[in-house]
Amino acid sequence: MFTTIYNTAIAATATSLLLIFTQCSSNLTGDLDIEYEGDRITVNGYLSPDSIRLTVGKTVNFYNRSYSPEELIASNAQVFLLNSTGEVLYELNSPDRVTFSIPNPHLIVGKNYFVKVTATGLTDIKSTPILIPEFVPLDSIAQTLSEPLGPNSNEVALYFSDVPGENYYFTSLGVTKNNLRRNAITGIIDDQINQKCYAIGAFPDECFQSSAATLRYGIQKNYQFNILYEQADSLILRFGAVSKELLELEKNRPSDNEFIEGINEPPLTYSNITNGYGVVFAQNWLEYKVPLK
Amino acid sequence: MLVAQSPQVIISGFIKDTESGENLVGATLQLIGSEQQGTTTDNFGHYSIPLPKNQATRIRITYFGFNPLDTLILSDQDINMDFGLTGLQLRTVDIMANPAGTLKHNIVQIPVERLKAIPTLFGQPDLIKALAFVPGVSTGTEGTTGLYVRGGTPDQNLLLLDGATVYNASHLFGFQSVFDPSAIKDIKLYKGGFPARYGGRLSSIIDITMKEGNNQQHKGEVTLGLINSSLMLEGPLQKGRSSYMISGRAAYLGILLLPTWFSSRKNEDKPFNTMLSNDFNIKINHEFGNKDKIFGSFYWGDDQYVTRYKEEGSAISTDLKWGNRTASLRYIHSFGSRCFSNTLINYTAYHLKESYKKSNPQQLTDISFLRESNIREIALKQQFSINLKPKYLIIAGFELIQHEFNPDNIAFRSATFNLDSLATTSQKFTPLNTAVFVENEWSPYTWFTVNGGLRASFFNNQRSYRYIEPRINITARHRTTSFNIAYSRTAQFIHLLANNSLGLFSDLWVPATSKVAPQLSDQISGGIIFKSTKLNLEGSVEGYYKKMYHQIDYQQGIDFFSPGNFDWQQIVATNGKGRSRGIEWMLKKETARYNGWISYTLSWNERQFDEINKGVWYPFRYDRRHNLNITTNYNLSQKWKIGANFIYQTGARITLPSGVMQNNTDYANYDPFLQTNTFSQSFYVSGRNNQKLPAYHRMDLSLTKSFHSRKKHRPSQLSFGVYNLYARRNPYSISVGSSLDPLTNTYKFGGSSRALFVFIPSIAYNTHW
Repeated sequence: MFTTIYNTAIAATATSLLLIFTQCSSNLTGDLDIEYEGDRITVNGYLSPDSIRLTVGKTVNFYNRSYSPEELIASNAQVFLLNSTGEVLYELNSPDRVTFSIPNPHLIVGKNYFVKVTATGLTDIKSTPILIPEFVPLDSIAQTLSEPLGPNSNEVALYFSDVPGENYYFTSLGVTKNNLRRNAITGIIDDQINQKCYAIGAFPDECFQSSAATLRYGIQKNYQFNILYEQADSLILRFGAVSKELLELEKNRPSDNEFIEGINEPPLTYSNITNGYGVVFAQNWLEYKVPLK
Repeated sequence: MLVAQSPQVIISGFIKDTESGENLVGATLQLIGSEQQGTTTDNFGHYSIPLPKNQATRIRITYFGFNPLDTLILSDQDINMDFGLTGLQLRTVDIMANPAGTLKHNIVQIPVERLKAIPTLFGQPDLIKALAFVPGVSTGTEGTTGLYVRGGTPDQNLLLLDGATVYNASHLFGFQSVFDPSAIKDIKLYKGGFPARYGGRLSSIIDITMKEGNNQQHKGEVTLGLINSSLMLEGPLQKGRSSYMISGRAAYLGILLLPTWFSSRKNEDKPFNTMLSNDFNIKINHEFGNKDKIFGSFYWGDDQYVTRYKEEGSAISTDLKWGNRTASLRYIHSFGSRCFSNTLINYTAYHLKESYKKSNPQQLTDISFLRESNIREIALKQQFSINLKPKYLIIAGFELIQHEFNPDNIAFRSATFNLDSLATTSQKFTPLNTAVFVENEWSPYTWFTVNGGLRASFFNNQRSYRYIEPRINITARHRTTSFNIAYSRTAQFIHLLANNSLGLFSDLWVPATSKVAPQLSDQISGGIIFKSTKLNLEGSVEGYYKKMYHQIDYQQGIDFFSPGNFDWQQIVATNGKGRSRGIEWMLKKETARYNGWISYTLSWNERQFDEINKGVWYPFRYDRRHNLNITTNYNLSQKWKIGANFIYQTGARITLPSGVMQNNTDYANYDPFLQTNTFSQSFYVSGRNNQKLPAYHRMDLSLTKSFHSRKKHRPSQLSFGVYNLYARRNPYSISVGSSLDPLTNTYKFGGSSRALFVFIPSIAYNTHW
């Protein structure tokens, strides 16, 4: 009796395992029918008191078809800058149908502006109001050699005064070797900022508790050039105030694991554009150059 | 319709199986000649019915698989009367449909024997999965046991096993439920119109009762299946008075994979996998005369999945364990024929432990990750049922539940990243949950019943929460048709923080805290049930609208395995809202040779969080617009029976890239160091759950041969089945990727899905003695 039961169980399980493993292992169905909502205009870029730079295009369905980068160009695009009452201030120029700019627009700090884009065959899009922020200079930059951070490392502290009101700050750091720019291998070494602000390039106001604010970076001088590592000679940093749209864009940057199921929740693409996609923000920053020790 | 009512008396007692002595749950008592008067037995086989005083009244008692019993009752006072039913040897008579007086709205109570006959994956009967065939209930990922009732989530289902909460009903990654069919006597699903005696969950109550055991003779049952086998033994401890039931079930994948363990011991490069799961159920009961009974039941179930393998010189091991324990002690006592007491003490424990290790001595890689989550609770529940008058029943009582939650203990170690040890022990929570309830069932006329109730619930965890939960259920009957409207407010003091993609690994049970408020819902439902005794048909149409408050979900873009995301309270979006609505149709036919039903649900299900999807309402992952189920069983002869299922569900929702656009970070050129001033592109995602997967559908078949072994009285069944007969490739997991198009030498992106169970044949053997 038990022999029969045992043999039956073994045979049944062996069969089931074979079936399970053959069924589970290679069942890619291939083409999954995914709906596409239709082409929309896209616009990205920034406004600042003395310059505007925007790129315009359109979305493309990429599922189950080959597409060329040319398809991302919006035909006959026109870009307008509007003031807070909706009045058109400028129509932007484009040398290549993609980038749009205007020299010295003299945008006013504390004022809201809108961007509107039209293109043939596509629904017009308009940004949300974008506030030009007040300029915040760096008070000073302190720089020291810091071996605990790793070989050939510098600690750089940026001191500035957090102005009253809701402000958003931005830093971007790089290094140069013989005037060639590269991304710096950097990291914020202030734990409080790390925990509260996730060490992204843009910082909300609550990252800085007092009017005397500090950002500390560890910077490696290793500079990759033609595969060889060399020592960078200078630090280039961009610092200033930005509008909240850049903060949202940085917070919602897609990660590498974005579409791997089970690893994380897929984030929505941040956009401040109605009827389309993209991020237009305002900035008021300066670029600084500091020789590395 | 108003009829002068004569004086009445209360007749109460138990309905039993004469062969085993077990009480029958859900047996029907109907006054012959009155389609509107009747009742059903409760979870303990107890009934209570008002009858005319001093007037001979004929009653018919019926139960699925038993001969109907007609009896004449004449009494001038309240009395206790027990009845026994004998099992059908040959089903030669058609089963009578329930009388209108016993038709239940918002409740699904299908005899276990019928649920066991529904063909399922691997041929193993699964009572929880079988419930997915009733209207208003849908399933999640292919093959898994999580039920989504009227737009709710699996954590909003209160799973009770002999009154004790079961937190995770999944075995083998959810492909099988933990409830061993050979140990289960009854299963009851409440979808709405919840009686006040139930609380603590928003969407459903699944009340499961274990078998008590045969108190007349020793019996047994063996089931041999493809992935596991079970043995059940039952018999009297004292004939006619006390009995035992003991059952065990184990998956033998682990036994068959033992050779891989031996080979990996000899050679570390050889991979080793094993998957173990087991269940044990024990129940004993004793009757002290006709008025007192005591039941003790115990459940123990575990799962373990282990893998060891080498990849690029690194030794990798994963270990995943989870399990449930429940223990219940119940005492019931009849105070005469008008008052019935039910006292329950129970204990529940659930644990989940997952670990991952990767080491490579040559690359100085050494990473380990350990995560544990535990829940324990001890509860005291007391309930009284009092027939104040023949037309007036009061059910009242209280519940005390002491919880202990240890939701997220994590240890992370990485030599690579100079993290010697990063251990977080989340706060231990020990909330006390109390509730008092009262239900009034009033039947001023034979055709009209109102069940109104109130439940007051209290929960203390960092902050005190108090809720009053009104419930009302109004039923009117006309001939063979029953109309109902119901409203219920329910509060739930725990949440299941579930990953929208996969289940289990990142699923955490967490209590309401000062930051995370308890879940609340309001549900209104109404419908009609009608029957035709001539055609043996029963049909129903029910509609519902449910609003849910204080829902939680992971924030957008959260990486579950990032060390910064280990504190669950920091990574959840709170105060979400949910709304679902739908209409459910069901048509059921039941004769001696044929039984089955068709059900269809049309529904909408949405969620809204301020932090997710820009605050805009979005479709819930299992927002299945259409859900059609057909299940049938037909007796070809006394020996052969054939069964079939068909299921069609609108595809689940998923978040996928909507298309491609210019890269919004580098081309804007706000970062001077990126050096990517090229026309690069990136995916964009337009909204949460923006894509709908292809519809899920499949057909299953089963063929069963019944026979007797050489020794008499040993009925056996051999079942053959096919799951997903026409090999539909229903998506199990989705990925988006690119491949090179050789014609244009460009990369082509596409979504692809992986199917899991495509044409799975099965065989199972079952014998009783």
